[in-house]
Amino acid sequence: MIAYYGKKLLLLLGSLFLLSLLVFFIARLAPGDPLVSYYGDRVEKMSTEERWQAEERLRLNDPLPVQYARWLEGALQGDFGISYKYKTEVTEVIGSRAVNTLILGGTAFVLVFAGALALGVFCVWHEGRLADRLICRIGTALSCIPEFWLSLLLILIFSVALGWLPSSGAYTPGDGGLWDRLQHLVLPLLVVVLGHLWYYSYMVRNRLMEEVRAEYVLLQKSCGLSKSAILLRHCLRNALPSYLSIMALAVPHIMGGTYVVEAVFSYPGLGTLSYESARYQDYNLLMLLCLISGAVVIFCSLLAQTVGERLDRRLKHGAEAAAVATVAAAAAEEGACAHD
Amino acid sequence: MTNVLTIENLSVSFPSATGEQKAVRGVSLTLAAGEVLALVGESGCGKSVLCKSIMKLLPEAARIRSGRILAGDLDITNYSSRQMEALRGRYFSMVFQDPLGALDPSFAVGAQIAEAVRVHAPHMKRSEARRRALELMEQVGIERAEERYLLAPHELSGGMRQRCVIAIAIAQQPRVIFADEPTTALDVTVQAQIMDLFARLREETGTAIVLVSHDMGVVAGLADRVAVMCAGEIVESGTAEKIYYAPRHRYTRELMQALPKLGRRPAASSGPQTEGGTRHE
Repeated sequence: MIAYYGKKLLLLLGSLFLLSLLVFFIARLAPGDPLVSYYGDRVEKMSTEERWQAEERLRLNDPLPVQYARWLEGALQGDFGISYKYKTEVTEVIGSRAVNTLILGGTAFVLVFAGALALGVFCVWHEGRLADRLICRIGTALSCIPEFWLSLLLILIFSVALGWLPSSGAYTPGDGGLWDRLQHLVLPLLVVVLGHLWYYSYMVRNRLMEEVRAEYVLLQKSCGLSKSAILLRHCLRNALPSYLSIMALAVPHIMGGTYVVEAVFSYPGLGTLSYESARYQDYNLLMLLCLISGAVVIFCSLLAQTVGERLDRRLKHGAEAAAVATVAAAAAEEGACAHD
Repeated sequence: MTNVLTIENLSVSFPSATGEQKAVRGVSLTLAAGEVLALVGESGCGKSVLCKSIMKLLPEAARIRSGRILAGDLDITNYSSRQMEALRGRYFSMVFQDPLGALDPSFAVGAQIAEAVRVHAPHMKRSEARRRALELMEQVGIERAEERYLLAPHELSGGMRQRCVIAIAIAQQPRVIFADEPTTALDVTVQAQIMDLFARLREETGTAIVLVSHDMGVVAGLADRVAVMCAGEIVESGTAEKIYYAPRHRYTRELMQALPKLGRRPAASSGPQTEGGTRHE
């Protein structure tokens, strides 16, 4: 068991290391001037000499492998460097924004998780009838709309035309109360949820449809069990392991959606920050943001795998469980022979 | 004896791209209490559809085109699946071909039997249902039932699984059990054990059994009457002896000839063997 999780942890760390290498070199290959984000417009007036000194101060003149080694050394000790733009520790910059993203992404995830389950079950219950067909059509159309476009459309309707909801930010400066924050949350949340809900509902619907056609459902029907008991107690229970693995993979998916939506709504979260850091060559900030996002993705896919294995009675990991089952089957067979 | 099941001129059809497919064509049958009726015919001749149409387990697209189905005196021809719930389990129940598929993979077999016990008795205590499930498991010949109660279906052998399915089928003491190819997925020695079990259950509980099979040899020892089905119609029916010794319809004779001749000849396994199946009880 320890070896099993040890292996997974090693995989996680190895992947993160590769990711950091990749991001480090790709970021430096991208065109742009990191000095601009640190010194602003002053860069344009700098002489070659001053410029060289400035680069030296930010340690951008060493060969790339040396720079990477220095970054890695710091990172392993918890020092991820300073942000060129904000001129403070990157961890501090990220910390203040992460909460906003967690609120937006977390709420969206919970809503998608519960909504998809409810919608999927509803569709299977009304399989083939008008309600099911209608939800399928509308869902497919909605999930095809790009998030940035939907965001703009909603801003046009609710902020510009109707003036009901604010079009950007997480709160009004100087206000920041709960009601104010909620108002700012509505539109971005709506876009993220609408963009993802159908995809996962469809997963639930398909998975449940498979279960509803399983033969055990016939046996349960034939002994008089009601439709609701079969669907909710048995089919759902059997579909749950794969749903939970899918939802573990949905975390990065929804997080990605959140990033895009944040950028459109100028919502001060990790998404907007990533966009800015890439645009302004804020290397240290970009590195840490990529690592955090990458860690979430990798961790969630490992989680998905583990959840699937743990919850499915037939899929206990490794030969251990298989051996137990074989022994049990053999013993049962013996019992049968002895009896008759 | 009163008839627990009467079918008059029943036709069932499915819509398809080429028009309506008639799966069952004008079948009439009666089943007396405690009787074992074997429904024999090749794959696809409509045996399963006939049973499932009686239990209203067919997909919604299936239509009963004509005829009547009586459960005792009750006309259930036009019952919806919903109305049928009250009768399922208590009056009719079913045993399926593949016992692994027929059991829910994520629940212990004991829990599934206990669930069947409580279907129409929601106020029964869980402990009481458990006790009854253990009784049922012993009744169908599962030894060390306490241990097996907690096992998942995949942890049991095929024969044990089929015994669990049968325990579920008899949990509410139904009047009629449809056994849809109950031994096809099992190997030969286990087949014999399961057929013995059916014989014993009929003796103990007095339930009528409709035994569906494509194999004359399997049903030989147990059936009181045999109905031979071909392309949705019953081409010949009569007592087991009559069908085995003097098949009249050409299809019946062909079906008899399809039996492997080595060892278990059909002529030797009729009549007297009917008692043979229950002799050791």
